[in-house]
Amino acid sequence: MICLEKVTKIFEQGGEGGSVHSLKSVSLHIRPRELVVLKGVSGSGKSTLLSIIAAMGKPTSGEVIVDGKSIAKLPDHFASLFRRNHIGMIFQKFHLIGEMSTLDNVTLPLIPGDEDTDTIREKAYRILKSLGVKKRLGTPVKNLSGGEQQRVAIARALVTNPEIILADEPTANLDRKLTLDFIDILKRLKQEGKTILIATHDPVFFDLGIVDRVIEIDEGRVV
Amino acid sequence: MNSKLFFFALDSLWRRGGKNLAVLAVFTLIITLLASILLLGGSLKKELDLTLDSLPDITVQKLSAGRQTLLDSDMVYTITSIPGVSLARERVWGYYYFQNAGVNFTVMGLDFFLPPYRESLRKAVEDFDITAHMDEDFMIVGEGVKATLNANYYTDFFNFITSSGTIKKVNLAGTFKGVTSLETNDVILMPIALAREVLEIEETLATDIVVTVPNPVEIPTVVGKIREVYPGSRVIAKEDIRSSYQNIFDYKSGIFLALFITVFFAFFILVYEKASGLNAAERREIGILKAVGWRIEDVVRLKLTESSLLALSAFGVGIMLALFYVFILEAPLLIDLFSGYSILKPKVQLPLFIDPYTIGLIFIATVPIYIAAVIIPSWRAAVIDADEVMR
Repeated sequence: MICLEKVTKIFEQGGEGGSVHSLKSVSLHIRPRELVVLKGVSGSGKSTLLSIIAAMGKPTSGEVIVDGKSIAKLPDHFASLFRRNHIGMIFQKFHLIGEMSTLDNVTLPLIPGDEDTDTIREKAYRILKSLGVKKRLGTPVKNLSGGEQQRVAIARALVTNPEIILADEPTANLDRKLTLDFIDILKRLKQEGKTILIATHDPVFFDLGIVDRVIEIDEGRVV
Repeated sequence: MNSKLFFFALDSLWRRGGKNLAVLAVFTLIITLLASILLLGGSLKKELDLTLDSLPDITVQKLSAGRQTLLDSDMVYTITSIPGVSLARERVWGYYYFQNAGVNFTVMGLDFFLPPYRESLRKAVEDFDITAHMDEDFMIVGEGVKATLNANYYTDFFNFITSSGTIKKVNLAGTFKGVTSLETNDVILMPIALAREVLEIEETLATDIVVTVPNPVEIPTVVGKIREVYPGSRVIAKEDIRSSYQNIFDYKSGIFLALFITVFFAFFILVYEKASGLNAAERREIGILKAVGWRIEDVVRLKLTESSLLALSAFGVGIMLALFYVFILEAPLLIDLFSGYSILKPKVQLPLFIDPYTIGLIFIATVPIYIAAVIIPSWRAAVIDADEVMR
């Protein structure tokens, strides 16, 4: 499903900042319907790895194959389409548009597509409902609680019905109860057959029954 | 056009309502000012052209010590005999200063039984029933004169005070409207004999002589011949007057140009502010859109829709406000720049003249530039990898 071969990512800092080797020849294979946890401290390269798998950034070298397609050097047009059709991304800081309503935030990935307004709103509503967000659909998300915002972010990631869910530090801003709620959602997604990759340093994920594998990343290398 | 994208763009404008409202207000103000300047200039130019078109082919005046003075009416016969001249007619006219209002009227003597020498007066004569006023001293006046007289409680008559101090009571028989208000607004028409009394011009004298030459090619030749016969006279062809007026207009246009440049400068500050880059929130929003699968063209299309909506609204409202300001309110303040030289004349009514070229020019000079200034930085942000934009 997801295959990384000797992926390296170097960030040029500009000026006298030099360059930062965020990923160093990482090779990784993730099978369909697997739930994998990427474990590592802040700055270890987990987020960079997720963004490369999501085609949000390009590796400096190496090959990334997702669902049989090479995405490492995809032009922006195809990378965006790939992201929209195959990937659901959940960010640590949710990355919602604060002034927009709950429902509108969830419909965002579908706006450039061909489906009509009623259909995409119906899809967004169904996803939100399944995640327990039935009220305050017209409320700007900045007025929602942290837990509600995370559910909206999850709904946005799921609204295109992607096969792959990538979650970057999904519980970093949540309390214990909300973290457990998130784990419940993960269980459901796994049952639905999604391939899930979670980058986190939250120990609660390491011993979860639903987790198939824990891969540790340290200083840009798979340990 | 994706209707979802259109409504998303509307929503996006609404979300940043305060900022967009400020931009809309400034943009609208700039369009209003630009359009007002150009519409007013165009309208006055049109008025001027219409006025000049109705002028006689040649006007003959007599000069004394470099100043215009009265000439002998007999000159008409000599001028009529010049080949190429179809008609020469003496004119009795002059200015009457109405002290109460502080304005000058143009008093013109007219033979109401002959076709007028000036096209603009033809309708005034045709519409007027002379038989009803045969046994009284009467006048018909331009609308500006009527308004000035009424404002000074002269509704049925007016007492002219001649230069020798005698009072001449003249009944107000009606009003008339010419092709342009610039030409007829301050005009008082009355029988020639009465005009001579009011202006104290003797029977054998006239203010000037107007000459009709049907073939425009012959005008310079006729002008030369009149100068030969009357060396002390000033012979003015229509084209001479046109260029003289044009010079005044061009001078006034220069003042307008300065104003125009100032307004444009303000517009480019607005454009520069837009083009110089996106703020952090705008960059972040583009990053989010990219992250959830929007392509560069989707982002550009969104920004194109947003900026077009804003620019076209500002343009539409700005043009409407300019039309209202120039043609309904008659351009208060701005018109003083142009009509300063005729401060003693009654108010001018601007003719409704909208040049599509002018409107097109304003559109091309503002709307696409603003749209480009919005799109270019958005495109720059959209071509960067999504993770980098959000970082």
